[in-house]
Amino acid sequence: MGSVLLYVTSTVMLIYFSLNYNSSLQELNYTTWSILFWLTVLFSAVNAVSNSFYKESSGRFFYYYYICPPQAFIHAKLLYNFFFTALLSLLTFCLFMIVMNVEILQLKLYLLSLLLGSGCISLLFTLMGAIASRVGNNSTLVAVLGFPIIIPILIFITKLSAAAMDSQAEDPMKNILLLSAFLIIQFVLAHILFPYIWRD
Amino acid sequence: MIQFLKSSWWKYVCAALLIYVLVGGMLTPLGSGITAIQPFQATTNQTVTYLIKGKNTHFAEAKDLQLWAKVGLSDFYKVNDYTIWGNDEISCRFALGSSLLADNKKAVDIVMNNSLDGTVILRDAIAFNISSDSLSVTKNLIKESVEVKSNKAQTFSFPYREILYESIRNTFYHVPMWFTMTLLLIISFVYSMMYLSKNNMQYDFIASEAVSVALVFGYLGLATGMMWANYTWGSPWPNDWKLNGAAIGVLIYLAYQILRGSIDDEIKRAKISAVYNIFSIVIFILFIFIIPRITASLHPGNGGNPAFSKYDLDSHMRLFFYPAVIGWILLGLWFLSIKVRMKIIESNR
Repeated sequence: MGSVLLYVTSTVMLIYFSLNYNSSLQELNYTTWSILFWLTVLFSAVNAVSNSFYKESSGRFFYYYYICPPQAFIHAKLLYNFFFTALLSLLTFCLFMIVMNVEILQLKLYLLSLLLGSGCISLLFTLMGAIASRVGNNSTLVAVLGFPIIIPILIFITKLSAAAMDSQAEDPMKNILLLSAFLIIQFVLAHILFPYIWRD
Repeated sequence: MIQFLKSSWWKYVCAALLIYVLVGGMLTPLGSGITAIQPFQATTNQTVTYLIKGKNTHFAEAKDLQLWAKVGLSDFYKVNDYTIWGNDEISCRFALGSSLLADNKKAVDIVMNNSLDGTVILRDAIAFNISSDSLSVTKNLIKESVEVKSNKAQTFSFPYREILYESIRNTFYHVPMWFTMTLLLIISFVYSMMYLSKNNMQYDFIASEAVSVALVFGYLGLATGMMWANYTWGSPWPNDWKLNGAAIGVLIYLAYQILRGSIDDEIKRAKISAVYNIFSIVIFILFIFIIPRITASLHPGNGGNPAFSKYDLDSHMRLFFYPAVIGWILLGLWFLSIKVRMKIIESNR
């Protein structure tokens, strides 16, 4: 937990300093701010979430195998990772507001985008972490499996966040519906597929 | 399925269809069309001589040429005064009165019909400025009811479309590649599910080799698409959702192959890659079919553009398009059969 917080803080500081010393801080538009924000959240979340499987020792897996059905295990993992990523994104948001203050016009929409975004990221990378943990704990594998899928999702998330800040934004309902649909699809797939990975 | 893959009657059908599509698709000429008109801007009430250039047209040979200026949605004004300079060039002379011009559309289409070429249209051919005269002078234009023998050309040809021109032939290559890739990925998905329920190793062979062949067709689809996009849209990779979705689909299945490569134990590999396969087919369908339909897209069939429904495909193209789809799909299955049989032989050794 602590290492992830330190990762986030260092990344925010890095972004702030590099923008400040090239005097591009004032020229930052909403989309760029949003992209930088979500990239920070993405990389910290990937680290945190995929390692959640890695860190469990194999003895503990046997223990879980005996006491609960696989659906309960994966639901628990997904929920925990979701809360963790949501908290992470909130923290990153506070840090971003401290160093690069931007006026958020529709706070409720922005918080919704935080929730949806962290939901999608955590769900996807939990599933990929579950798959990769069976394959020898390879962290590059998680990236290889997960990044192609997260790319378009991230585009929709950043569009939604930027729409919350911009006064001339287009209707965000399409993005919200798409991200919610993606969340539901992933949750159902994880629910159905995890028992097959579990049986090893 | 393995029995079907081992038989050989359909391979002869595949070869015959593909040769037919290749020869017919390339040798059929393109239909008639108007390429240019000079001048393309004019002022109303003034008599101007327009030079019209066609391609694959037979203005001189046809005896019953009719020429109209189409104003608005349905007003056809027949042009009386025209001179034919050759099979490809015709000039006409008329003046359009200010009162005839529709309010919302200031451009006029040029429509021509003759018995050899059928109907050819140049849309928005002449853009008109309203002249400052208060009088409305119209010359050489008569509003008549339109009577033509037939709208179709006499020779067998492919439709002439602006923007596409000769590259319309790419339809027989680009579209079937993607159909084949999607079908192979669905086959792979079905066999992954069957593996998870029955644990038969042969199903896993089919699933993994289907992904490999599907990826090859994906690369070909991307290559033909980029070539087509370069000629019609100006750049090989315009920022379009369907293209990005297709590239991501290819990346997802490349990740599937990497996943398979990183596991040594056969049974574990089969099980885990089956799980990832089921996950990725859902994401693939989401990115390639659903998301482009709801966003603004350049691609035909998405974002409001016409596609391959019953009313959008020319009947001459259809004679080659359906065999092309079947031929390329059979070719994909042929590759799949060779690879699966090789895998079975290797595993039995």
